[in-house]
Amino acid sequence: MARFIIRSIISTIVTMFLVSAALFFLIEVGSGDITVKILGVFSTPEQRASYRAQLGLDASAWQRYVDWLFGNDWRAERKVGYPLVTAVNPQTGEADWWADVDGELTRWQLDEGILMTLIRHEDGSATSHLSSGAWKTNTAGSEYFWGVDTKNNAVMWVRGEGAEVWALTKAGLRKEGDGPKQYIPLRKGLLRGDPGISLQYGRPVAVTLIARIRNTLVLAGVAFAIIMPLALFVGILAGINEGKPLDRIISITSLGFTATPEFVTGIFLILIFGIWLKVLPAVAIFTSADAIFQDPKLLALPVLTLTAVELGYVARMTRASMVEVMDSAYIRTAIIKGMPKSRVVFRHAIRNALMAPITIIMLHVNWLIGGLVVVEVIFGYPGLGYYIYKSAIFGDFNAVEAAAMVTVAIAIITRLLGDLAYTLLNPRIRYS
Amino acid sequence: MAVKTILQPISQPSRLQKMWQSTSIIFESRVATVGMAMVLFWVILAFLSLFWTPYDPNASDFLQNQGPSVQNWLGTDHLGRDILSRLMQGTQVILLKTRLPGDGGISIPGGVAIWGVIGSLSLGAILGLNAGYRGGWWDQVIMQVLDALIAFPQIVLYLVVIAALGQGDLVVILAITITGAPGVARLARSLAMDIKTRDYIRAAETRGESVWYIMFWEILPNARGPLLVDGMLRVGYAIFAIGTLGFLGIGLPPPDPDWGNMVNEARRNIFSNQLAVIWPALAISTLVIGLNLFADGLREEMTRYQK
Amino acid sequence: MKKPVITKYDMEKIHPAIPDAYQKFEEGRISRREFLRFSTLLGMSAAAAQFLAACSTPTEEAAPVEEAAPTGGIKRGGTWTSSMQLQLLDHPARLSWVEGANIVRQICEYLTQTGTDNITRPYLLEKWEASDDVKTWDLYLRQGIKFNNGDELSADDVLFTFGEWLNPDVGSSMLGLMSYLSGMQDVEKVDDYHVKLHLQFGDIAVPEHLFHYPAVVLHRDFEGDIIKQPVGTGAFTLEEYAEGERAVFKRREDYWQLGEDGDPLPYLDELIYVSTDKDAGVAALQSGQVDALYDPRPTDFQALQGVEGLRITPASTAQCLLGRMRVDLEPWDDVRVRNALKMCQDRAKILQLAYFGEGDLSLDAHVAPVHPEYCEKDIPAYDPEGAKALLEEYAAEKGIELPLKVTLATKNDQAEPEIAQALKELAAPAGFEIELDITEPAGYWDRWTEVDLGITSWTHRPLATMVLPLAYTKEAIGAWNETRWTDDEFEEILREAQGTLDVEARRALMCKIEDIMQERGPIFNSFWKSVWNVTNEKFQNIKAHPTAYDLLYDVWKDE
Repeated sequence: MARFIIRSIISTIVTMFLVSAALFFLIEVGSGDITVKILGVFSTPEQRASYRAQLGLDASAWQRYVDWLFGNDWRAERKVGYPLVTAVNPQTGEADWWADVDGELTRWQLDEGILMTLIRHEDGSATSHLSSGAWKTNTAGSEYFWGVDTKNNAVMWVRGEGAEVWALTKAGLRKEGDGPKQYIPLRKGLLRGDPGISLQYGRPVAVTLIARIRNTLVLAGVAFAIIMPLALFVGILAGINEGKPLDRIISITSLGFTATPEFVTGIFLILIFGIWLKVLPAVAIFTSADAIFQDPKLLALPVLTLTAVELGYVARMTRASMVEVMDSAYIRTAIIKGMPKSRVVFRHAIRNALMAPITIIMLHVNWLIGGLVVVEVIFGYPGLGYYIYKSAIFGDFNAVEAAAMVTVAIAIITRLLGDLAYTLLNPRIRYS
Repeated sequence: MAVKTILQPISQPSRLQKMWQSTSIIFESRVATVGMAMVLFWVILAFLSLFWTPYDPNASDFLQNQGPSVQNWLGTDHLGRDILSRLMQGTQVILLKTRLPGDGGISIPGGVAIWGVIGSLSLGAILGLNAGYRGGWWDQVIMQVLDALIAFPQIVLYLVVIAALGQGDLVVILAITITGAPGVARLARSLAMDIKTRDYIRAAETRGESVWYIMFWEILPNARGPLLVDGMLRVGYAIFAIGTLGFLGIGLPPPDPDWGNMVNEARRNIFSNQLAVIWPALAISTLVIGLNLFADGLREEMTRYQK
Repeated sequence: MKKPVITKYDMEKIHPAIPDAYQKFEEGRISRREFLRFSTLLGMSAAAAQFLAACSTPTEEAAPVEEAAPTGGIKRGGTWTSSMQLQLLDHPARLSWVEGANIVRQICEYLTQTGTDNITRPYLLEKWEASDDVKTWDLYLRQGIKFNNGDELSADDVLFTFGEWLNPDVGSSMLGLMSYLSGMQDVEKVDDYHVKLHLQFGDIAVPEHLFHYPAVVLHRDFEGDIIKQPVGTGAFTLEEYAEGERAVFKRREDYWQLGEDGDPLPYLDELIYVSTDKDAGVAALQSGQVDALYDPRPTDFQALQGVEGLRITPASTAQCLLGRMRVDLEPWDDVRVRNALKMCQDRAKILQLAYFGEGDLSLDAHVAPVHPEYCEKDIPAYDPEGAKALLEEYAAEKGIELPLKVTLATKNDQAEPEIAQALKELAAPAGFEIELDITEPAGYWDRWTEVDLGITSWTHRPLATMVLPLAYTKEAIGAWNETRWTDDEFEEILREAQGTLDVEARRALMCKIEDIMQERGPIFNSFWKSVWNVTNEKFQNIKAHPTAYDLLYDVWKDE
């Protein structure tokens, strides 16, 4: 048993690693020039090149993958020569990078050719001083300096050679004179809990993602709690009555629901309940972050849509499993022996019949996630699926990576749980 | 008894009889017959659309958003195009033709859903047979890769592949191939593990046949039944997936109509014209249901034979 | 009650040109709107101008007074919710999207305001005065306006804001717009409430520029991020801003404008913008989850038409989907081919097909009826025979066979595919064989200046003299002159128009400009788009602005 768990966990880690690499390089190969999307089509090639450098995109893909996974502060530390630490900016609540120069948190700024030192105070504010004697001379004779700038990059300035850079400042481009020659956008890496900055929104991915995951878990959780008992009940009902009219009705209905795309179901639910009858909120309008808790009715139509699609699938699985079990020798023997059919069904058949669908459902969590994306898009539900969709369309790779890793983790963990449950329920495969 | 039915056709009858034997299976199941009829309906419509549609599917010849009439049996869409013509033309990209990139407008026979499934069957079979027949390290490594692929939520994979490579028929085929292959591979692997214990495999091994020969000439033909049934279901999934992508606006590119995209466009006018949403939705549903029933019926009959 | 009178002398005191204009107005030679614009442009207060206009007996029927006072019964309180995409936001001067401006304008305000009637009036300014050569502008600030941090608005804030616009490091689009200012040396602080602009060359559009959407007045200590430092003179304060999620504003207690009831505006307690896509927004509006939808598309308008509880107010604009031909490439270098294609427009049919008939028919000139200087002309009829004759002449000369094969490129964005599709059908009888090359918007914007034949979307600008120099002059080649068309006569007239304050004189020039563009110009355009403001009918005083600006400081909710 222990061996099985250890093997599963190792396999999970390897899987996550493979997925992350595949995802990273897939986006890498295809997404083209992300800077066009960020800066807009009217940006010039110089602006794009400058911005690429600031995003650290001029580094090799391999380097960026390592940075993304493990962070790059340790790499930048060697250049800067001081430990790099983060401190929370009280204004934004987001972490900023500073160099720890003998206990003083420090950043630098090049202002019209003059290097300034910014020292952070306890309250988060900073004072600026003239920085003297900081320049170093390289072999070619030009003076350079590695430091941390005010935008969370480790950068190299070269004296007298301020590059002209185009900085994106949230709402547009600005041209800055004293541009650094080289950038390392500082990050801790996914493994240390930092998925980076969203290219689309300019905020840390983690801030948005956590709220989104919560919303999705609520939606999926409620849907799951409704779908499972209902689907199992209906499936068993059909399975017991195999071939009878009740079975036919259930089977055809559930096949019909499964074969109706969720986007069609969703659209019509919105039309009927949200707009014609006006009994339920048509779409998920979050007027505050906790809207679903203040007004749980927001969940009604998304849940209903998910139910319509997933219910049929699970019910069909359960029915098939039930039919198989009812057909098996030991059940037939029990019935022939003269045991009441209801007792046979409840005592023996159901327990065995449920094993298959439960594990299959666990295996299909990623399939459910697919349904979630579509449902969240239709209802404008601010969840993980909508986030992935938006980010993928934009090519916001930091966001897609992080969100996809979450979904992969969910899929793998549930599958692991499914495997474990199955192993516990079924001694036959325990040691295989 | 069961052994006899299986062995008999291998030795004696003509090719024609053999074909009849395998197709007659369909008519023994009512479910399969109904399913096949539904699928055939669309296939015939697809072929018909190659030569004739009531009107030009892309021409705005009529009033916008009209209900069904003698002139337009299914009504018109938001640009005043005939919905029936568009629905018929929409079958082509799914079932009959794949448009190659480039300016030439060249298409190859076989729709996006068909090629996608052929792709996942091929890739899945290669991986699965290798894993199942060779076992050991091959099995470990291949299964690990497949686990990674399966863990990947399909929709995310579609989104990323299409966001990365752009829209296009070939990209959609690639996405369907990648997402379908792991499932096929798992099936092929379990079949291979089962079949490799048979005597005729031993015999081939003793003869000194190569590993690839054994996998593809000995194991694969004996595993084709379940694989084909699985493939049939996958065509259904693929059509579903194409519809979803079309709805999200990242599916098959214009100008050919795409059912999912028809739903998406009609959705904006749903308040005045609900039918324009219903028709393409119905098309997707009936085709998927047909394929499902067909596959279910076939599988039922086949397992009955094996019992 | 003594009737207040404004004498000719009073008018002259404000500006010597006003009495002239008034006379023309009385004689019916200029419309009421033009008179209002002209006189306010010269520094007359809007109220006085409106009063004058109301006193006269113009031949033209008076247009309803803009921002009509509600008929009493104002109620205070309530929340206004809108659906609008929320993106990145920091320095208002760098805004490049109207959605962001709609957020910023609730906190910060502009020196002027261009109303829904396309007339610009002083706003944070008390009044402005322009010299005759429109090269010197005096801006007089209202006194006693307080920022939401308690500081009083003064010339220092205005100077700081001008400094941000003119600083190339900030990257504001105001810099290009105000190319008549060579730097801060041209912006003079006369006293705490008086700023003088010394223009390098005359421009009549200064007041319009001051209401360009990035032009909000900032606090003198502003550091570059409005979300971290939401300080402004506006009627609301920012409570929450989350990109892609929502923005929440609360009423400010000490706003400078007073409501009808004598207490400070605004009437509303709270504003919430929820970031959703348009499809979800339409559904939300119909089910009453939100009260408004930012800039509805034509299909949204169709869906929302006739929905109970919603009020739809259309606004004519100078936004268009412009057909443009590269005059340096065959066959568009031949004016006959260009004119043939222009004649292939069945403008009413295209408007119907592409925009559900919601817009104004257009000439083939980039001057819209909403522009004050627009010169009215007959809308050309659909004439495939005439077009065919021209094409046959061209083909015979070139020794080629008809049909003439051309490729029309555009983007799948607003109504461009519909226009392209319609044009393709309409131009076929004339001997054009149009192939369509429709890509996603980004794909078209990558090459919009390069394609031979294309449909490009152009936004609304309040004056024709603001848009024409952007695309039809020699300097604009390499920038926004997508057709490469230049014309010496045209440019000369345009330059004259840019320095002509008198609307009627400017209209005479525009008549010539429109003729030139119709006769030999590089563009064709079937219609000017309408935009719609769709808001829950509970809300009163809603203004339908041609650029979808949300002006909410005096909106009130009638439950």
